[in-house]
Amino acid sequence: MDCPKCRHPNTDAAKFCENCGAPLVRAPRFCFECGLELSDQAKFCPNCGRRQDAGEPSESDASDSQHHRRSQIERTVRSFTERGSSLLTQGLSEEARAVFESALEVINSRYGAHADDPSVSVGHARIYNGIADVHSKLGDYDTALEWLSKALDSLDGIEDTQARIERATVRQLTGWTLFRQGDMRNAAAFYCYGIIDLSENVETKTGAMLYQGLGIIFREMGDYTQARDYMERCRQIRVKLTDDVGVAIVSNNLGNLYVFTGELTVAEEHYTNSLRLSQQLNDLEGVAICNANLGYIQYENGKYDLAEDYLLTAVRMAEGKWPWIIPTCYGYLTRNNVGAGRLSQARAYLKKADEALAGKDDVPVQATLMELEALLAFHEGDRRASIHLFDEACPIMTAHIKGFHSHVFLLNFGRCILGYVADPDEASNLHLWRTKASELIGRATDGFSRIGNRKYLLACHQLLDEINRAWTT
Amino acid sequence: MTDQRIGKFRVIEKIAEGGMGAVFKAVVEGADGFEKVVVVKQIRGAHADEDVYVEHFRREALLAAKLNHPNIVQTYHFDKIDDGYFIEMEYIDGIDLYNLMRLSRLKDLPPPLGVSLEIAKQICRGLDYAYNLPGPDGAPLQLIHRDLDLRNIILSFDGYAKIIDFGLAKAKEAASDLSTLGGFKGKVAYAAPEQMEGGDLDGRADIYSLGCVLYELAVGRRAFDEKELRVALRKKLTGDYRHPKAVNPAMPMSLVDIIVKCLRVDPPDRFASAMELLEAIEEAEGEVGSTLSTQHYVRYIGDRMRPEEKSRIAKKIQASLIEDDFNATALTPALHTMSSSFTNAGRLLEISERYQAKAQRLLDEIGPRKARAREVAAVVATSPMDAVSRIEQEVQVLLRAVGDALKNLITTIEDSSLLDTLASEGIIPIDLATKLLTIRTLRESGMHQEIDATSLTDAVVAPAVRPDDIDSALDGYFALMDWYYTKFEWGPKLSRLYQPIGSASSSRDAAESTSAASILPMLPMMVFVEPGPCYMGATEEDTDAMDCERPIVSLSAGAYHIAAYPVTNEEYDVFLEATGRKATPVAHVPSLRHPDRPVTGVTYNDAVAYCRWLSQLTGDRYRLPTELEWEKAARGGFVVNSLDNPTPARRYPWGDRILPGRANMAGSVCGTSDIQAHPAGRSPVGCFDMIGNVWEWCGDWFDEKAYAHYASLGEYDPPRQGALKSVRGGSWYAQAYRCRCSARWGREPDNWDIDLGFRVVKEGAAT
Repeated sequence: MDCPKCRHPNTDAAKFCENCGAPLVRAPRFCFECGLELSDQAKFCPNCGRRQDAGEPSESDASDSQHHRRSQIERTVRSFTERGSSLLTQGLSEEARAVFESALEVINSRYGAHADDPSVSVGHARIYNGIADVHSKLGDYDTALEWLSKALDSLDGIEDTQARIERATVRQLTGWTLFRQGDMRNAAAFYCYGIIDLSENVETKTGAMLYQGLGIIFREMGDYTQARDYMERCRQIRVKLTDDVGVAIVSNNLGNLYVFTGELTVAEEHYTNSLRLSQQLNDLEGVAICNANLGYIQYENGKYDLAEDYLLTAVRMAEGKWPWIIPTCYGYLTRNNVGAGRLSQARAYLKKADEALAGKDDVPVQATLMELEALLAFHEGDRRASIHLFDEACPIMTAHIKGFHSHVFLLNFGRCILGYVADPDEASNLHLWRTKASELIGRATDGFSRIGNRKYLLACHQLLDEINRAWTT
Repeated sequence: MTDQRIGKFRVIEKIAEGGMGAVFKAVVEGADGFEKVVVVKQIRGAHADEDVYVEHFRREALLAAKLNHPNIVQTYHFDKIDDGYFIEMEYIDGIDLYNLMRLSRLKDLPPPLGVSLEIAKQICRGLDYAYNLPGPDGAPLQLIHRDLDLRNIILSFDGYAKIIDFGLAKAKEAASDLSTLGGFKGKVAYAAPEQMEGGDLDGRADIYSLGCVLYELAVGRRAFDEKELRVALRKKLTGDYRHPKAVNPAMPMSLVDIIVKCLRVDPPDRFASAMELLEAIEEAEGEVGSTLSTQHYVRYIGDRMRPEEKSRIAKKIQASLIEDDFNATALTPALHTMSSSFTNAGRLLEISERYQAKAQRLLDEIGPRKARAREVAAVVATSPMDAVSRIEQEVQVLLRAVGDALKNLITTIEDSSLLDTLASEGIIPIDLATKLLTIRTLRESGMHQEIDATSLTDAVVAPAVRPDDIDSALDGYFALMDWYYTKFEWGPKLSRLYQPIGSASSSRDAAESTSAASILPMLPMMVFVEPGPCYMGATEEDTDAMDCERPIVSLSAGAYHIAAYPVTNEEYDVFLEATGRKATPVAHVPSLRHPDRPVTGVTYNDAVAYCRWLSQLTGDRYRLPTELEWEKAARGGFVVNSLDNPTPARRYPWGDRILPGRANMAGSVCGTSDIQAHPAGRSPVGCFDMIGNVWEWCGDWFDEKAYAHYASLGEYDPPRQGALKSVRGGSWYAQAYRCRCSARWGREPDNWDIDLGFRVVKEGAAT
């Protein structure tokens, strides 16, 4: 195949140009007549027998029925976008972009004359959506949003079912991109509009994505009841569609919610289900995530050795491939080893977590590592330093994290203060510290009660009782 | 009355005998026969150097006389009469906080949190005024009180909190420095630590004292109760006081934070100014949301009420206290564990699994019961004669349910100390608490094995519900339902459900004439708006306002009723069911479809059809509000000289500033919220969710220049035609600047949106 950039002839098997290194993406060819995808060499369509060497569609095409043209456009666009998306899921963003761009070229050169045909507009929208997806995956959200708004413009005013479904897809991606930018309000609105576009067609892949999107928003807002409602709906749809990949993902999400609300058995069921599906599908990233999640559950259950096994498996699988999972895993490992009382091991894991996170701008995980540092310092006996570390992490934690994790932080902070003042050598300003501790624990109690996590609520109450007793004696 | 005279004063009575001397209530008689009641305070100087002492008082009294503010008791003169020195002050018809607290304990009605906060807010205003009053050189005088305590704050029966004796403390201190050797003369329980140590003071010392006062009002006991100066100082320096949350786990965290911050040892850690404290309190109010006014409370406690008014207000105070607990339940989990509502008794015991099932069963019962209540309402509306027996039956069912709930509470509480706590902290009503305690004790001693549910119920439901005729039967039934559902977290829903439907006969006629006679509408709770003037539009200072909101005009509106809430999904669904109308486009978005949240996705035409249906079934005239009616409901009419409405042209229903917790706006929730979710966002006339949650359709055509037209015409003359209908109030999705009382725009009548709903208006005068 000739390189699209420098025209250097390469072998068909080559993925990159031997001369300039540009990615070689074969633009698909389609039959002018019936729209079947053709090999590079084909001169005749194996389906309908039409000759393919004429570059432009013949005059007779113009008189073709509209219906015919539509199915052709449909097929062409689908072929391109499916290939683009599959490249994108493999992490080959540049290649995917090239595919989408050539799709645009093909559609424009061949159907430019029919720009007012709704099927051309829908095709455009789908391709724009694909390009936006590439940008969104690369983290360039602004550019992604530009393409998405082009896609919506192109669908404007078309009200047939296909256009509505397409619009819902675009809105889903828009919502997701806005969410990644931290704009929950607009993200929620786009998801809502997307669901309305689908209405009775909501039981589709896109509908499931939209429900999951709203679920994630409500989870981030700390409203776990509503989040769970949406996640369950998403799961039901995916089960119905036998979309196993989707079920695996949403099961992980559901598992998280149940961990937050303290229903560990249910959470474990969801995680295990997700693990099973991911294994069947050979989705190793999914398997790694499930292992990490199951590890955390075992930590919550107090089974520290089992937790260690799961978490180390997750780390091993993620290494070199999905680096984003690793800092979290080491964070869990640290927590787990603090729980088990193996402090030197915990210290070693915390160091690895720091290394894994180095240079990355992930504030929530950073805040979590600060909390772990403080927790570890406390158990290592440097209680004064521990309190300072907690104090430093507190504003970051409360500003960036809503819900379960921030409540756990407050509880730990309060507990460490109580531990600090329990040491008679250290304790000055006893009552000030006690006031501070009861403030923190009071706040944590509020939080756990709101989300209905009884395990942690109980822990809070025990500490509050302790404080009360200390006050009365 | 005595004939005693002091100079120009005719003494009426001696109010107090203080450290400085006696305090009299007296009358000054003017030459023209004009009489003025004042307070005369004697300054007794048992001091060696009396001239210096008096000079100090004179100077401070002169300064104090400059203070003229509604929250400070006005000082008029400092006079020498015969051998004594006297300060003449404004007389306040009211009661000081010390006595207020004493009486409230006697009557077992502590001040509701909302009242405590209102008092603290007013004191903040007074302190701020005195601190920032410009002196001769224009610089703030920075006057501080130095001796703020319960006795130095008077609550007038009009509901004004007023600070008394501004500056006298300083004079006393300064004077005593000359006579005795230094030493702290203020009140040990309330003074800031730096004041007790004799350090330099600024406004933050008053903040500390106000913190002590607020602690006492809200917690019910003193933060520091030591008489001995050194002990008290040590406790203050180490922050050694019972944390409010430890005394009262039900207290909202935001209020706890305020008190704790006031009581910080180091002044820089406290609120920097009274204004800052005031703002914090205003924000905390969002979580308290009491509806009881301060003057009602003080009049009741001070016995300044007509007997017939008394029982009504007593109930209101009680309700308000329960409401505090309920707000707290929503906010603080400690209460969930020590819970006030009986459903939550299950939660309290959630530590052990088996109680969960019981709580669940109680919760389950509420669902069917609600449906049944609607049925009863239907019977009442269509055939009043059958209603009596039906209601009697329902009352029995309810009574049993209440009894069971109470019984459940007793049997599930295993730790009697917990009940003790519930009782002593006032989490459950005191009469119920004592009853429960007694029964428990009896049970423990084996004397009373069976718990009689009926006798328990009688202990709580004071008015016996024994229906004789339809009216009293209904009243009793509704009262009982009210009590039951408030307890079970149903709150405002109930009253909406049980507005008797029109007059029974007319609604029966109407019901028979429609095909869907069996499906009755749920009537919203309506608020009556008195006829009178109100503001429309935005001032020039309001930079968020758009041109279509200008200018600000004052117009007059007739009497009408407006719904306290936007129409909810639950209400709208009854309409859909009855008429077979098409569901809204948001049908597949569950977070927008929750029964207690406003309906969305309705067009103007849908809203009009809903009103028509409601009118047909009830015989009343329901319609969409005009923009004038809407805006008046949001910002209230003119009320002059009332604390409830200090600024007539308020920007938001609750005042002029955005405060948290008042409305669902600018993406704070990412969807619609329950209509009960923002009680503190209540408008002066009593409407909720005017701002935020959903945009609301109005009946008027939208015209950009409408307000300019009203201004030039001087009266309300809405456009006769147009392309767009007005929508008002902003929404969860609208940006913050669009969520204001005067904000307006137009949408095409067949538009719908994810944040667009409506509320109804009923025509006519008060019934």
